[in-house]
Amino acid sequence: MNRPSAVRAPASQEQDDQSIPQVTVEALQRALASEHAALWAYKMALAFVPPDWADRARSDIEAHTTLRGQITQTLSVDVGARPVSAQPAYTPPQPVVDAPSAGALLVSAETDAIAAWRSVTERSAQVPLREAGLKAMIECTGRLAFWRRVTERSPVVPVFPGRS
Amino acid sequence: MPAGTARRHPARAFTRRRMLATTAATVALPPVLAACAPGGQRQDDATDALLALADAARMDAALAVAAVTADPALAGRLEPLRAARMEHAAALDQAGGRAPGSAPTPASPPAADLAAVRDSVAAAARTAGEVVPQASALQVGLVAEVAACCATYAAVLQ
Repeated sequence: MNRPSAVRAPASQEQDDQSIPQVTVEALQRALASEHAALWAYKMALAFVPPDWADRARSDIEAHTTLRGQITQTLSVDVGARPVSAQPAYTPPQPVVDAPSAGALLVSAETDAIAAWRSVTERSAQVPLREAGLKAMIECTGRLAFWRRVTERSPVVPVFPGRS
Repeated sequence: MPAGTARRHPARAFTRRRMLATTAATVALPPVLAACAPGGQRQDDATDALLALADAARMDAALAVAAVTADPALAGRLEPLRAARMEHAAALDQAGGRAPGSAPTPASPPAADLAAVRDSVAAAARTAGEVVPQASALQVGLVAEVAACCATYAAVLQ
């Protein structure tokens, strides 16, 4: 097995050759942090969006809750790491005062989540983790396209999802 | 893993790790796991796969043009896809080491409609997804982005 010895950089000396590389663990933790942030964003946006957007937001919350649960389990059970906690609150890129600004917050949240999951694919040598990262990117891009469409952004589907 | 040894300079890896620890903008950073890139043979295979994805992207763009030619009302839905697939082709060519302008011109597609474009882009999403496990750490992010974009177009063009 091509176990990547190079990831035993000085800052991760606690890792041994049999564990998931620290750089992969850090990418997973960032993906979890992005899921925490996305869930916070959706719950905040719910207060500002019209009913049809709210229906979509609730189903998106369910999807992110599932993703968050999966990655939390991966970290705690498979990796043996302590999953990062959600922060009490986050700072939106722009103030959220109405439906368009709430939609913009969700565009930002999904874009950040795609970037974090992309990082998981880049920093994982393990095929299941790469595939999980890709699956999450595809799901998040589908949600992103909805929020870009209703907030009248073009193109609706980003050419390179996750880049902002 | 002889091919990767030269790149695994500890000081460089440490520098990257420090960058990782001090910035949230990690997507643009060269992944440390580049060190884990498979040896020469697999790398070559993935490069061929990247160029095949680039060719498929150009074919999708040509299909979109054919579909709009047949039904100009589709322009609003398919022009963004055409533009995206041309950007994909350029990025994949570059990642695969193909010189600009040296890509083969796709054969003229047969008459196409919306369903043909949708099916083609859905197939492109699947093919890109199949490249994700074998791509190098430096290539995989781009391939995953292409897969995610194509999968989403396949969904929104229903």
